[in-house]
Amino acid sequence: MCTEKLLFSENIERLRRRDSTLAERILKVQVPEEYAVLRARTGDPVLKIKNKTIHSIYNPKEQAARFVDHHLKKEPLHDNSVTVVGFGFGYHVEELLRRNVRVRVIEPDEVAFRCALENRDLKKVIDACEIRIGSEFIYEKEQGAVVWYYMPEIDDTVKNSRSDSLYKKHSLPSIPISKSLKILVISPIYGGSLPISYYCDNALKRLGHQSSLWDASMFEKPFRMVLDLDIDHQNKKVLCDLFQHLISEMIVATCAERKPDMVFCLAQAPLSIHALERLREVGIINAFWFVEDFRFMRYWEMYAPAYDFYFTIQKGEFLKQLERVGARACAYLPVAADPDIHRPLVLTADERSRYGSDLSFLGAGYYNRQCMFKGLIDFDLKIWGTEWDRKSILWPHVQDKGRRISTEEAVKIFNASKININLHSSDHHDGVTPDGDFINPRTFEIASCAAFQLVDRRADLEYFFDIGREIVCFSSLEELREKAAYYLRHPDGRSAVASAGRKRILADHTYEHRMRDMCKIVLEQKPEMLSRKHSRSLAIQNIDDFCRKHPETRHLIEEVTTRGLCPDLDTIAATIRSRSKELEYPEAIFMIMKEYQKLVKEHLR
Amino acid sequence: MDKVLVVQMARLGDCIQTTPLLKKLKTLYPGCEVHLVTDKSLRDLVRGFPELDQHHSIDLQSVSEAMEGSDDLSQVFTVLHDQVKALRGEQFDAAYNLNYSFLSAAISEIPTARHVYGYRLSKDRNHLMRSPWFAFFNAMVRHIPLAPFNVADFFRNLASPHVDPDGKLSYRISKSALEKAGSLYKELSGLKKIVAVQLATRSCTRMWPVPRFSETVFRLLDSPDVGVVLTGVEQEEGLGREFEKYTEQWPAHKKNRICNLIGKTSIEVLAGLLSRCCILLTGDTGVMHLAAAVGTKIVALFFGPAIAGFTGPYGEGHVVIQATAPCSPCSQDHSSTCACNMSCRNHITPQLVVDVINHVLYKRPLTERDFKNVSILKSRLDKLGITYEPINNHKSDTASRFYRIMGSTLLQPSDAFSFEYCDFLYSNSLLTQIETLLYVFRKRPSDIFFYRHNDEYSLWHPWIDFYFLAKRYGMPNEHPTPNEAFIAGMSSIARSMKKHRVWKNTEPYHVH
Repeated sequence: MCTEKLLFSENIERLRRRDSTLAERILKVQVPEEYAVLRARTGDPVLKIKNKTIHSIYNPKEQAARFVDHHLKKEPLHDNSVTVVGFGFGYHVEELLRRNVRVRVIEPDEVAFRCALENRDLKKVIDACEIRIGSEFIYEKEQGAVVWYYMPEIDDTVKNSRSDSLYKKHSLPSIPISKSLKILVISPIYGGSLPISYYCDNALKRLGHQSSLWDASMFEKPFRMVLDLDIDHQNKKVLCDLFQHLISEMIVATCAERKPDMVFCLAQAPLSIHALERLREVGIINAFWFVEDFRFMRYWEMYAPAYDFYFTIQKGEFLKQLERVGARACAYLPVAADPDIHRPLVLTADERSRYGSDLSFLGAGYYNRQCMFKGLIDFDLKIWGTEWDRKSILWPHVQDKGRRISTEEAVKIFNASKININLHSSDHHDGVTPDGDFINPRTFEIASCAAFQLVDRRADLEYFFDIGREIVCFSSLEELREKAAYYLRHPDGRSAVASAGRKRILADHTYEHRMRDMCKIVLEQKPEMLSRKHSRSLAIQNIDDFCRKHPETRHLIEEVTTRGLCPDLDTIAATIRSRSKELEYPEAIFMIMKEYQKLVKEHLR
Repeated sequence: MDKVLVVQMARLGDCIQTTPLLKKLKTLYPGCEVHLVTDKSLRDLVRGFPELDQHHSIDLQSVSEAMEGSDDLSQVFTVLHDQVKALRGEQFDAAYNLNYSFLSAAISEIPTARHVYGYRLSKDRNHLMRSPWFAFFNAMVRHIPLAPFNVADFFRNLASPHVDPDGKLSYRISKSALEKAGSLYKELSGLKKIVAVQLATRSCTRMWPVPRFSETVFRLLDSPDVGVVLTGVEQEEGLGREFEKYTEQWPAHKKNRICNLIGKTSIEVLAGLLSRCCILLTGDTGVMHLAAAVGTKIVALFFGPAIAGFTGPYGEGHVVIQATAPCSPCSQDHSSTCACNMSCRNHITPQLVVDVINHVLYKRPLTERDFKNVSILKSRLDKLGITYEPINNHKSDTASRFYRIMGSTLLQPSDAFSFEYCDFLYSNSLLTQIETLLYVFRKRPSDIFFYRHNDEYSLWHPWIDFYFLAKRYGMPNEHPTPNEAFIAGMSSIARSMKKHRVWKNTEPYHVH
């Protein structure tokens, strides 16, 4: 114990000299039970998270040397520097330093890092490396830098990527209720970001936030009726504005009653600037996730300054432009996948023949796709989706006369196709957009299905996937044809890439990861959200403890928590009200509390 | 029945008004064990309930404190659980839940009870189901000026079958409390007539101004055998001091006959003190019910939202001075301020109050004069309980009488009660209205609803309200059913009127 304390204090002292905020943060970290330290045969300490050891329990140093050899062979370092994601107890980092490589360390798990500081002498590492702790840094890699991943806890657990239960194991730890936020997710009326709003809501709930969805898609029909009216364009615009105004007011009224901490809007959410101001007046933070290409959709210029937080899927130029138009706080937040929805499926023979083909593409018929796919018609090619040209030679390949494809069907198509082509859209290029700077949801969704894809090369794609191992890219029609032919001949290669892709999604690219990062960014700038106690209701802090003490409440509490809801008094009371049988004892107790709380509130009013 | 539970989570006044129900339960089921649940703050009060065998108190204040003090719901749960776990193990033959609230409905679900009367949570848990008698109670609360029954009788009659009432609240004063009370106002011991005066009221809309009280007391003390004690709790001491300011200039022989005991009595001693007084003058109902329970005569000042027929002192021989205004009674919504500047309370003058007190004390007749905007009501007992009748030249309210008769059909569906009030002037047009309503009801019951929108039938709205409340929220399997009750009420009125030969039609009236 003594050596442990000594090591930790020496390490933390050294860290404080380099990065005092990080040192303070690490000092506050509590180590939960699932983090244990073992001794390897060599006597070196090894971290164990849940059931997985992070380094070899025989000889971690030798294993580290092998890891470095393997990666150097595969990917020689240009300027003798590398970014390592995953630190563990740092044996591999020490090995790199020994070979005089400059190392930048990103460790997503602060608990693991604290354990490392407690158990290993890391003074040299701290002095020599730039260290970033926290998952938000995974996206902060330097342009063009070589990145190695050292995440054995994920590789080892993923033995069979076709198992649906897999996802559960990788679900991020639920945040404590004291840190949970009450969030209202606002969906658009329709469009590509509509399903993303569902994924976000689910992810927030799984993370332990009190999220609820304000589903504006229920207004799709009436809204389309307005759009379809046979009237002058100008008048239609007035009507559309009025319609949006009404929906905005409905959202504001909902907020006035539910008092969320934050309103999280997806692209094209029908919330007016006036409504945003009113929400801000009552202290509700609003954030917007612009999951669109800023070059095509220009409405951000007007709306971005109205939001407290503006999240984008593009970096660089867009962030600068946002700053120029006066956006308050902007951050890069790429899209992801929901592995519960986009998942590996076992298809029937019928489904395989209906949805399957050698090559397939699912998406709208943008100009560049229309051009490029003409060069693929000698393959067994199926095209799914809308807006394809009926006069084109591609039309015979377009399935079901170009109808709209539901998410469920899309998952089947991804699963059934040998190769899914993913070409990011463009209105003016003939094929691959040079330096395309965002990654579409489809990239993550196909990978999340453990399906194989050929995707056009994008600027930052290597930060998301290990290209060649987890995903395969093309830059031209020739390359696409060549790789398609190669992978059609090599089914093993396809499935290796596909399962590695799913592993990567589970490790880094689920909506839970994104929502966690989003909340982190918001809370860093608005820490007062957590201290605003009035907006949060009385909740059971330690569910296990409570259910152990009052076993008869277990059934009720589980009903609340399995729905992803927070076991607070309001939610429990609402659950009790929604049941219909004779009141049980614990229900009576909660009802008395809720009713008395109401009485007291009325009295105070 | 061997064991019954009464749930009464309301305040002091309602709690005392529950005693006739406790007494009735003891009469109906001799030897049965009577339990009562109240808020903990009433623990001292219920100790004086002679019919009570066991009291369960719930300390809601501590629940509130736990909620304030912690974000952890489990702690609050534990606080409440510890308080009700004893109640949980109990088994009752019947539970009587008297409060229209989900809170007390949930409390009444904690022990095991074979039957629940009064209010009970619906199966879908979003409504309160009610006994037919309480559906009538609710309908009458919507039309509060009609007030056909006193609240104590509403509670009391929840237990069936009917037993003739004795018209008394019950409270047992301990000897020590009585002695302590006596020692508090020794300086007044030589005086024969002690009048207690309660200055404060819980709601400011019912406060009679202190200068008016002082003027009243000044005039009362003209009689040499009268002494006055001021009653109230600690928080009301300020009012006592305000009162004393007015008395500073008074002659010593009057000043010496006033004893300010505000804040000096516990609830038990207050009861003892009140029992030694001849009269309590009050605008507040809490202390008023306590005084009525110990047998003190009341002169009550009713204005604002207060209606004598509903919350007037329970017992025979009490007097209520009821002020009326075009806008009275006030709505129960206390948040709204009075548009009339609370003018109704000024209709009650000190001289009038003195006259009424002297009438009660010395049986002096009330001098015939202009009782403008004021009714003097005196309580009397009939077979259904306590009712208030005017003793000045005001006429009794016909509609209220109607509803007393109609409501009574719920208590005893037969024709057992006879009413001497029925010789009131009923017009033929009223009878025609009843007949039409019954005709419509029997043909198409749902059409009754539309009569609510027709002014001509305004008198019958409450009975139709009752019908719909009972239909929608009536407890299943309770008798009479809404249909039976509706017809019985209507025809009992028709019968009474026929008996008194107001109705000229020779055809007998058939309901079935």
